[in-house]
Amino acid sequence: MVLIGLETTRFGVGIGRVNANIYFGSIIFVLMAISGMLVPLVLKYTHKEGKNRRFDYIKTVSIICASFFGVAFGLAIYYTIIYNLETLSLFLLAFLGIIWFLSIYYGKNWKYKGILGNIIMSLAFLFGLIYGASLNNTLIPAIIYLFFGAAFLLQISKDLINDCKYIERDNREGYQSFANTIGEEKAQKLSLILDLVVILFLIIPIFPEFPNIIGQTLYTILIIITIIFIGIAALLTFRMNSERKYYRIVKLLLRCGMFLIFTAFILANF
Amino acid sequence: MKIELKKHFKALIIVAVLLIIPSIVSIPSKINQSRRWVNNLPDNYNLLRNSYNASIGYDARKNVYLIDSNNSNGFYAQSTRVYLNESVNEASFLSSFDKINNREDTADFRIVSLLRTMYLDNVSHALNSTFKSQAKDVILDFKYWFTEPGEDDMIMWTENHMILFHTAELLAGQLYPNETFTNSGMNGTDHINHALPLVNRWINWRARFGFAEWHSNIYFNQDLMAILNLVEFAQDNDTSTKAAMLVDILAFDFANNFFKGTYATTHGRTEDNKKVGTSLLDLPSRDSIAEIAWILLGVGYHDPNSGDSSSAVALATSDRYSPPPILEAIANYTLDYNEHKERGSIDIEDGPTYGFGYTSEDDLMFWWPMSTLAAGPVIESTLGLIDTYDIDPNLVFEDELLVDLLKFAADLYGISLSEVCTFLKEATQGVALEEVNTYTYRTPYYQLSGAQDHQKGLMGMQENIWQASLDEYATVFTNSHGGFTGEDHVGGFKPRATLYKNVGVIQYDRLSQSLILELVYAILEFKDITQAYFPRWAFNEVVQQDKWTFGRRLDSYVALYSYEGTEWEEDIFLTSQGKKNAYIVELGSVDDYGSFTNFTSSILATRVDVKHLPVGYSIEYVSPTQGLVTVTWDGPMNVKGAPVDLGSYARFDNDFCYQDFNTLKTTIQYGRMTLELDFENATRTYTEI
Repeated sequence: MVLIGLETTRFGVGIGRVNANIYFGSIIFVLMAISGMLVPLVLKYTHKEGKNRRFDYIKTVSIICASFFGVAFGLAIYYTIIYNLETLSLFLLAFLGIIWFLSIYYGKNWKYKGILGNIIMSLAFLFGLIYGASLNNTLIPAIIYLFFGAAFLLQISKDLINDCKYIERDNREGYQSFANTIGEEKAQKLSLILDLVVILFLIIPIFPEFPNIIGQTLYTILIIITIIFIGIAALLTFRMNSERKYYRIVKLLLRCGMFLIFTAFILANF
Repeated sequence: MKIELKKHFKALIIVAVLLIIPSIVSIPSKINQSRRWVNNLPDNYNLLRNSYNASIGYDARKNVYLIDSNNSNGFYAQSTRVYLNESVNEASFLSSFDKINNREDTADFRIVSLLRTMYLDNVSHALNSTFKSQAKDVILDFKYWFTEPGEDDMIMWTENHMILFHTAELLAGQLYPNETFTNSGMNGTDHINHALPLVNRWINWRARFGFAEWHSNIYFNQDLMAILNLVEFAQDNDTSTKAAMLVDILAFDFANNFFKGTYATTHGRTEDNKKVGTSLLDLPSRDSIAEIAWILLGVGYHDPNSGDSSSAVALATSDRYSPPPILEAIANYTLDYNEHKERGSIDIEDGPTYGFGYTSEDDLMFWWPMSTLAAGPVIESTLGLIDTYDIDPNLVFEDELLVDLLKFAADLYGISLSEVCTFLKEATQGVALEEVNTYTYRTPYYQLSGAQDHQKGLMGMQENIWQASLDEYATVFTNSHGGFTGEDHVGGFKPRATLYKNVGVIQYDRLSQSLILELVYAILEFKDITQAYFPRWAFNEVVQQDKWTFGRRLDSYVALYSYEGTEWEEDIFLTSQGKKNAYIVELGSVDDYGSFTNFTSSILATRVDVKHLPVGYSIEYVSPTQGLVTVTWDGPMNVKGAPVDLGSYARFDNDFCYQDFNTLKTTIQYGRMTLELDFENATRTYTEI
């Protein structure tokens, strides 16, 4: 993700800075992403807290999460100082750290911790886009926000479908997924709305002269295919009405859509 | 066990963090301890060779050269034999005849020399009739311009090739005015009428804009051969006079830039073998113009084995040209001190300001000699001209694949070919020899020369952007690997070089590019390095401490700072990883510091503050001699708070000449001598009061 963020915003930035961003940014992002991905684990298994007295799972995972964040943040500080970077990227990392902390501290007992886990998982993965862009430039272009928004919402949509698919299993295990909390039908509708918003986000850069996109032809071709995939997924979601037979195909379509979005954005600035 | 692990988990994490952070912090400083190398070198390299030094007068030097040239069996030296009415070595012509008949690349070098031989023979009658007949057939069958029919492998449109072809056509036409030329079907008079305006157009451009192939230590050799042929043999008096004035201008250039026997300056086009030597047994090749500079001005020296220099032969066998004494006087006067600024060429975007568009054949004939073939504004017209005259694209673009790739990129991006070339200007415009402002500063001990702030970050072809010289071989320059001609140590990605007297700050970086272009760079195996040429063998003493490398040659000193860590390669290169680096160079001497030890300690005590910027650096350096020097990637270079003039310069600006750029009159003054070169009226006036 950080590489796509760097790729999209690299024009106008020196190759020396971009290369350093690739090395340092990737390491920092990986550490930060690992840290973020541990947060949903904490949220997911809080219901098991205290059951195993020999090994305090929550505490251990929280410490590992904090450690990864600490190393990532320390490295980011070092990199910012040595390479004389703007501090925007540090603020973004700090912001994420605060979200991680608040989620672990207060989210454990929150009613909607299922969706919170999904959000944090997506954020940990996709945050690299904005972080990568912030390393190159403090003025993060609209294309990055659109890409981030599209990928983020599509990931949430996919997670919702996934939650719906495994709603019974989660019920059995006592895990409070978002679909569990709001109900399967509402979760489907939400997924449908998110798919439509994603399509909107993907269409905007097709307009001629949209800034920070050089391979508009390639982007347009790929995005049309992507929109077809997501459109079919949305249609199937709309027609499901709590029926479960389309979950697998919808999930597959959304996953393909996600892959195509990444490809389109990489090629948009090839 | 699990409980034990849990107990120590926090401690392990803390230890790991504590270990990682210091190890990362310690990466940048590679060289801390001082290192020193000492060489026993001769004080005077002339001991290594049998050579004549200067100060024996122009005619005497010319005669010395004629004698040695007469003893050479080389192709170019045959003109000397004819001039002296000696029998020629016909065997030496055979390979040249083949080259010309086969229309191989650089055949124009040969035919211009062959024409000189034929013209000289009109006076001496040294050639036999069979040979002359053979030579005549070769001349009549040659292809003199790309507008003529016929297959060929000749590059005709670089600055030097262009004057060679035009000169060849003019002189061939004059030689055989009534004969029909077998390739073109035109007669000699037709060729004169075709070539003469083109010759004068080229001369006028050089008068107005200087040489785009600035200070070229290889191609001025070819230019001078052609120009001296015009001086001697052009029947049009104005053309002959203007050609002589161009020789004067090049001689003036040599006077201002030669230092201790070499053309120790920045070059628009040069080659690795002219700049890099690995030991006293493998010296850099001499500048191709070394012999003619010696004959013209007495600068440098004469090597008796260099009797086959094309330009030197042309001068030595020339009766109509002799340099005005003012030029040699200036060369002598400036031996100990000179500060010289000069401008050449124009930027592509400024074309309309100077009356050049981007579409017509005439327009392209101005741009192509500047290697402006694939830049955004001209690419479409270039391809049009290639189609019109069925020119082999491989000759124009080195490799047709480049055009295919550009077209592919245009399709991929959904933009026009012109737009894609503008988008990829790092490569397409980088090779163009655009406006260059050269600066040379000389003391008895050293010379620092460079192209100020020239096309920073763009990829070059054969440029050597700056050079510090302590003598003929103890030279220091830097390069960022790359470039389309395959040279490893010149012509790479261009830095932002900013120079002031004895101090230079050179920053390397380049903007990130399309991944297509990055892929091309990878295919061409461009190395991700910057490199400083610092031949340890050429210095009496080399010391390295912290980020500085110091060199001493007799009483001259050089200090080179590299922001990124360096590693010695073959004991002649300081190689740094990565495409971004900042160098600082400071030159000194025994007069300034008393000793080399004082020089090194003074430099080591100075403050150097280098900060990364998104592109390039912000650099503050407190020079022991110049005070606070500050430079960034974009802004001015400030010395003690005052901005340094980085250009645009006048055409010439030094103690002897000030000429506005884009004007046609050069006035050079020294003492009671004045040389006035008026290209508008074709008058060359030398006065001595």
